[in-house]
Amino acid sequence: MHYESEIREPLVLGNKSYSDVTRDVAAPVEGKANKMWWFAFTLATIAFLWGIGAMAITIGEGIGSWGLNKTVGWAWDITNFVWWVGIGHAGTLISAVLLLFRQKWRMSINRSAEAMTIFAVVQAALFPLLHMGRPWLAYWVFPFPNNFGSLWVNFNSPLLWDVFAISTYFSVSTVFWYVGLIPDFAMIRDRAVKPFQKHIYKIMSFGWSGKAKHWQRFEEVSLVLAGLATPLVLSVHTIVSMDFATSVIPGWHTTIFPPYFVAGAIFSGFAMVQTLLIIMRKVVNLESYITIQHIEMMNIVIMLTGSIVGVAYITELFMAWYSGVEYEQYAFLNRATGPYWWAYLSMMTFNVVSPQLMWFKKLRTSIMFTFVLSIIVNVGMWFERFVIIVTSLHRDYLPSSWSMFSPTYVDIGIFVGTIGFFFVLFLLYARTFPVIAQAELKTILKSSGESQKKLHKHE
Amino acid sequence: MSKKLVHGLFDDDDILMSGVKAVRQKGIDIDEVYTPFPVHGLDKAMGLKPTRIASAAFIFGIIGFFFAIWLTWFMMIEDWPQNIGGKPSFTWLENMPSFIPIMFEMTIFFTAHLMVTTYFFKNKLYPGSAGINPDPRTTDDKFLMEFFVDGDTSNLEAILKDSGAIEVTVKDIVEEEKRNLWFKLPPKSASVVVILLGLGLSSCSSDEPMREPVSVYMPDMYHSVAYEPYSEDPNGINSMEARTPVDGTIKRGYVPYDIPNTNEGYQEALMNLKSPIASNDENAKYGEELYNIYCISCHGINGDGQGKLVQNEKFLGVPSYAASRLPNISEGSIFHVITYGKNMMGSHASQLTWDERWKISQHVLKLRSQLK
Amino acid sequence: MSQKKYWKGIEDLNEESQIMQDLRNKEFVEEIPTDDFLGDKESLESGSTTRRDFLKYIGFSTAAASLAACEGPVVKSIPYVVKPDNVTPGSADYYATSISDGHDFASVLVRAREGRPIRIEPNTMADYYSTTNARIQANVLSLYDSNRLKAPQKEGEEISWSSVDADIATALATAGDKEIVLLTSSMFSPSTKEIISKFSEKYPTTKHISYDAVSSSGALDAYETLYGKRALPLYNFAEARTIVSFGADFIGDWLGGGYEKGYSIGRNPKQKEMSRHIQVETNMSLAGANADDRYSVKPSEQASALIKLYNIILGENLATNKTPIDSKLAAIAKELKNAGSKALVVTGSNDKNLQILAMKINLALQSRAMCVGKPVFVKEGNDNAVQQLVQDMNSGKVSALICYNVNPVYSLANSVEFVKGMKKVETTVSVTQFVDETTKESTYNLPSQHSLESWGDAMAVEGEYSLMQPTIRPLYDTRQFQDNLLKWMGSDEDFYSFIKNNWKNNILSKKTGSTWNQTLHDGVLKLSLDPDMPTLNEVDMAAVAKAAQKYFKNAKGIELELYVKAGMGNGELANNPWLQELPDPITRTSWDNYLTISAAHAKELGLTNWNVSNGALNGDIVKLSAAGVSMTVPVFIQPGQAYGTLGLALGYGRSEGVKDAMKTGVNAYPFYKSFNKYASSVSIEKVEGEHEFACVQLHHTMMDRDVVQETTFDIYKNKSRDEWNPINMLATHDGNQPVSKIDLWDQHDSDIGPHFNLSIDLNACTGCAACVVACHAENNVAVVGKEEVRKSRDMHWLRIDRYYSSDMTKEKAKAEGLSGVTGSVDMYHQMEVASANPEVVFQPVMCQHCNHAPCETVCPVAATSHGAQGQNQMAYNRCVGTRYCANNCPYKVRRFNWFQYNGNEKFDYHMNDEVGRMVLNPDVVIRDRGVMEKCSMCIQITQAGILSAKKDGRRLEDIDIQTACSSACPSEAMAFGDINNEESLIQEPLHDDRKYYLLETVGTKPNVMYQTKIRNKNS
Repeated sequence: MHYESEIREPLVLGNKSYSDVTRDVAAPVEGKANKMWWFAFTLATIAFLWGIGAMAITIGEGIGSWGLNKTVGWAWDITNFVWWVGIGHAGTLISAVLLLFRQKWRMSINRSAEAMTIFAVVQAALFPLLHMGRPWLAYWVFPFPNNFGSLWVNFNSPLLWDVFAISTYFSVSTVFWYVGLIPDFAMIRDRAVKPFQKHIYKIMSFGWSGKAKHWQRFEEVSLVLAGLATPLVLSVHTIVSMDFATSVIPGWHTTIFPPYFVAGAIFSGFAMVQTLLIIMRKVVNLESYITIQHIEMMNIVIMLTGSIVGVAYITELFMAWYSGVEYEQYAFLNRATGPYWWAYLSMMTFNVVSPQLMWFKKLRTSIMFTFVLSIIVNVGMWFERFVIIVTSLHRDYLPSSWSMFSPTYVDIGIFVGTIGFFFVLFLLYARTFPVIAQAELKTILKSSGESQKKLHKHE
Repeated sequence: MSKKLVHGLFDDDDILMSGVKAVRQKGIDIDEVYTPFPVHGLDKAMGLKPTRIASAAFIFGIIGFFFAIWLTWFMMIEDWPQNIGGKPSFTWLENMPSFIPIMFEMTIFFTAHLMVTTYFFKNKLYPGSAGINPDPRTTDDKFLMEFFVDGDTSNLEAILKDSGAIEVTVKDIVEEEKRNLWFKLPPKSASVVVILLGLGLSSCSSDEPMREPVSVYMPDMYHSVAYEPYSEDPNGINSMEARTPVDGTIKRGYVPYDIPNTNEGYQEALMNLKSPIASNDENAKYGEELYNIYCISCHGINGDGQGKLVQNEKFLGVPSYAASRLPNISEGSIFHVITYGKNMMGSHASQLTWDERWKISQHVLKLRSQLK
Repeated sequence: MSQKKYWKGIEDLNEESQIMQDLRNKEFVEEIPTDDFLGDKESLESGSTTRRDFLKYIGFSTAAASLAACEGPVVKSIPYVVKPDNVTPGSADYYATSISDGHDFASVLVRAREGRPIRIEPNTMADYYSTTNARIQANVLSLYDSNRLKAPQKEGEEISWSSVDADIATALATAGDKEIVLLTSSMFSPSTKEIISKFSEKYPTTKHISYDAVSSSGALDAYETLYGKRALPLYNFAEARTIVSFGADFIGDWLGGGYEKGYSIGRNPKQKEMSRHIQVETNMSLAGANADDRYSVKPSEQASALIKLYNIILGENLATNKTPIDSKLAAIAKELKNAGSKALVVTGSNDKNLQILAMKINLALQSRAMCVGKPVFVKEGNDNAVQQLVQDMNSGKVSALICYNVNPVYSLANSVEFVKGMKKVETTVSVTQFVDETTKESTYNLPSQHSLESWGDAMAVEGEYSLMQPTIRPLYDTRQFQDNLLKWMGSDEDFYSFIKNNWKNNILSKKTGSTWNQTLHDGVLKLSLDPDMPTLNEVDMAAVAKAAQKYFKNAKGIELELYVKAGMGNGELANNPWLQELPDPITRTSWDNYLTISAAHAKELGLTNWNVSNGALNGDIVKLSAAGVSMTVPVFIQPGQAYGTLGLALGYGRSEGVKDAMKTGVNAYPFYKSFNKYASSVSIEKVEGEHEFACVQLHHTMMDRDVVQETTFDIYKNKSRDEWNPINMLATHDGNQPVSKIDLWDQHDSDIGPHFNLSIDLNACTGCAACVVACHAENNVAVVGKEEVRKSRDMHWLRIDRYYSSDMTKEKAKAEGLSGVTGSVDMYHQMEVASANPEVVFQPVMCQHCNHAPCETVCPVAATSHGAQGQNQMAYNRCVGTRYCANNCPYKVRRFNWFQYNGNEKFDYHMNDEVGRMVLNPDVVIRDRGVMEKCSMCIQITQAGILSAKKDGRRLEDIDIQTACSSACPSEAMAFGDINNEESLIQEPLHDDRKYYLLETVGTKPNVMYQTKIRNKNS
């Protein structure tokens, strides 16, 4: 058996046995929700209902209820879409890429990160649907033979690539997540005493019994899925970035977008994981599993990707100047000094300056600081998308068509609604799903658990 | 002798591993091991064959890749090649760079989903399937070895105990367990859904003609907002969209016919009205073509008044153009009659333009000269 | 299938129930009062919405969505009982006729469908007034105005025509010595004149007074003084090489308009000759925007300058005042003298004396551009007679007042006195199409007919007669004015037979071989008379100059000039949503009038315009007082406005007979004292509040980009193309290559069949906006209203961008050493500011129909793709509305249906109106909400043209396929044709050196080309 060096910090704190892990993971599911949970859930539901009202207006009256105009055809809708998709990157990245790199620290957080991914992609997927003028015809974006003859989709369109990328990403992530969930559902099933609960978890666990052959296949499938998900996760934001990069609009037409978007996505995704886990470890008592070390590791990733994003911002400016194209030059000058300078400034401060504070060990191991920063990063990343979309569109080639954008309460309502919806889903998940991949975690308990480490130290 | 089921329960994965090795050394095959988490090396220790699911995944990926190629080729190149932004829809290869993202995504999509489907299928996992682990603790912190033994079990029990099993149980197999029956009849609710679906589909086809207006979901531009020809228009007389132009107005290209539809008018046309178009073969030929469309059914191909309708006695009293029968006609009177009609014959002015009527008159005169 | 009907609810039992009606028309029965619970914090707290209500709404919206699946309407088909021989259902007919609405006149060709006119095109067979402006184009919609007067009324009660006739015949018979006054708009109809003279015979006290709301009386008086006849000289701008205009907006509606064509012919630089246009004016007018040199001066200074110019040219020494452009006048005079008979001086003043001065200058120069021997009759209004009438009415001299096609209660400055006078008149009759301010005050309101419903004739220019024939049977119980007169005279004849007889007896005889039928078919009868030079009366010029000065003697302080907008005209068509939404070519503002003020002046007075967060323009409001009248008006900062002057448009502020949405702006006629469009000693004072403008263009300078290419005539003439219109080159491995040659892919074949191109000559384009309205009419473009325009959601498929020059350019920045980041920022900020007296360019922009269209590649559902004839096509029914195409369009020409614009009460314009819908072109689908739309290059016209050429077995010709904009363009700036046809007129611009493509370097390969603008600057 391979035991990890004791120099490394233990990944599971406390004197945990296999059984303790089981009990800890099952506890939120079996127990009753506390006041904190109910409070959060009520808040999220209210926001969600506001969003539903705003969506009803959008569908009932038309996109005109948003603040868009002839020049700025996308604003909050696609900003939110890209923002949510970006957030939806961390989960798969943590499970897949870190699995491929055999990073064991991922194990306490991957389940929740993946859940976050899926819930975020659900929010993201709402926007392409809602932003359509005729959302009831949304199924036309699938290669669907119609009644009128050979009318197919347009495979040249980056938006169609998006459809394929997002739907593949969503379905593969869900499957990946669920494959991992099955043994843990089986665990809850086997512990459940209430018949209803037992029945539900019986259905959800697909009859898992933990046979050696199944575990063998399980590991293989996980590995292959991880191998598939890694390029997939990179492709998704690459393709999202192509919505802009393949266009002709100055400020969009940029070859740097794919890596820059991917880095930004990881950046914001990890920040969102931080936000959620810092709350969750407290609310459902998982401090032993989601440790300061986990937080620090993620902070390092945030710092790194934040720096990549910063470099990308500066490269963009350089390329605009170096291109010699007046439209490009103006587009970037206008971003920084035009009517939306405040968005650009927020983006720069929140995304480039603030993560640099993570160089200080004291800060990156501070839970409070991390929590605040993770929110700042996500606000900053929202501004990044807003800057890219709105400031590029509002002043493009012909000055006669230059315009401005201002959101309406419906725009805001839908955005707040998706945040509400996201938290509704996440809070329900936290109460009903095994929030830690306990089966996987048990495999490292001996090598990385605190008690076991101590045990071996004394040997 | 009945078959016996032997379970050895362990509480540590390391002990389990040594137990497995110990049992195997004794040449006893382990039928199954249930563990709460993947114990690395267990499959090798048990002598399980490596899984081939990864190879299957590779094949699925290839299927997805080629499916994407086919999809893009069929839709963009073969079925309806369009000029989209000037992109070359001539051959798939020229247009291919646009399809790379699709090909990539489809490959992943097929690989992942078909592989997981295979995984569920092979593992016999499906919603509602009952868990078959013999002891619920095996999903918590216990490890269980399972043996089906014919005959004596004491040896095995001893080995298990020696290798550290915390519990060893032996029981008779009373009935064949349904473990291998992975497919169960769907629940009742599913059959209800299937029946409803069938009913729904069958209601789509009906031989009866539709008498009621069909339902329209989100009527997106199905009905013209502008008043279309012959549609209803509340502003018109009798709600008719079709209006008649004001009397006396003359549209571009229209030549009004001023001679009135009276006997005097007929006489005037007969005497004074002259064809303004040239009398030539081209016009006569065109006149003949028109005659053969509009006039032939009554007047007959030769103008002898023996058209099909006359022969079938649908119409009677159509005269021949022959001078003996109609001594007094001129191109002017022919034009007049085509314009206004005469006796049984109706007006043809709305079917034939002004110069078409003159051309037919020319042909009629030609027929007349050929008739005896 | 079952025949049973299942009730959706109890409401279903009652077919007429409001809910069922609403459900058929709308997706939601009533507005979901989401505002109640989703509004701001206050209403959230104070709202009465409970959780139960909220759940009800949620449940309701689901129910509504399923109810939206309603039974499709039964489409009834009602054919003719007897099909007339001159109608083919589904195909368009053209009728030559004329439009004469009192303000505008044009010989037109009306396109009718099944006996219903849907569009107005110019009648090119006419020599004069053969062009259409925006108002003429929009006139067809006024025919379908649901606020028209539909039946005769007496004191607001409907009565029958027979009792009207009896009443009025009695009233006229009992007039005795008192006057019977016919107050009409300009009516240059020979047959009507004939009727009026017969009417006068019957009723000897009859007096016919012509009244133009926006008067040209000064010019008529001037001609009368010089030649003894009330007419206008014929101005032919095509003949002029040097044009000096003192405040005459001859591209607008100066003296009845119609001069754009001649003007643009004269400005065609192709023959290496081009007219030079100097404009001295106060407001920025269309003519001024097109001028080569423009001086902005006060109205009083204009008068002085004109006298000074007269002095220089004629070598006289009439008394005059100093003006700021005195130094320039000598040079201007020299240019005029050099041009000699090719010079033309015009003035826009309504003062007889200034008009005499201008005419005298032209006579002295022997200008061929002003032809006095061919008088023009389009304007007849007599200011003095109208003022006399007001006095007469008040002194009880008038027994009957019959108003026709005028609205004096609205448009007279002293309308209060007029109304007072009306009360003293026994019988007041208003014969009018529309309910208006005057009908409110009249006893009898008699509905008259629209030009498109009427018979008529006209002689606009000596020697050219036009006929007017109805293109639709009267929509309502209406009767023509002329028929009324005939009836009241006791004649049994109707106007149709009267006009026919009159022509047979008096007019057709003037030209041998002419027939009534042929003239009606053509629309015009041209006599080709030689100009008949009238004898010139002697005038005391010193007195004239003195009188002209007197006009401005008391001019001091701020001066106000009233003007007429290209859209609104005199206000008669205020209820026309097309014209309301038409952005003013200069200010690019719609649905409004406002006080234009120069930037420097506004700054002094602390007045500002600013953009709010969604970009919409807001402005301060001032109290404007002049000559005892005051009202609050918003201010609009207008580059080019002379310092110390203000401009205000007439024709707004209608209050009666217009829909609420159309009650826009303020009525400026009270300032139009004695028909004087200038007022001095004006005071303005900032008042509380702010005004919301609806501006379609929020940014007014070109930012030194190559959007409109421009050069001077001198450079164009003498230098090679590379200097002034260089071909865009890109570096490749094979050296520099023209952009047009570089391509990533093989080209799609466009040699088979036609391939359409459109050329827009920026030199000829005057910005008059006729094309914009023509496009609206042809393509059923929605009117969205002021609020939506404010949100930059105008639907114009074709817009005319207007750019001002800025004092800052890249060259200047370099010279001033503005460099680096801060320098560039500074430079760009300065570039955004227009010059105080800017040069102006107009650029019509519609879909460029790119062969490499960025919009096409990005549509996920292939709703937009390229047609074989070069058109970028939209399949509306396929569009799901992602708006990606609009975002990716470098020209920003795509328009999105943010809401349902038809059958929606929130957009209560013609598409929400059973009558208004009659104007819609059935060949073009009306787009629902959520769908992208844009210029199709009139694909319904090109396809019909291709088919008709095919049917006739001939080659497609230009005439078959003229788009709405190219046919409507009065200055022939737009050429449309098939580039695969060697004989098409498009070949010339296609191979012209001036040709360039908009944003060619983006690589879109458009099918629309522009011709470089040439300004004839003095080098």
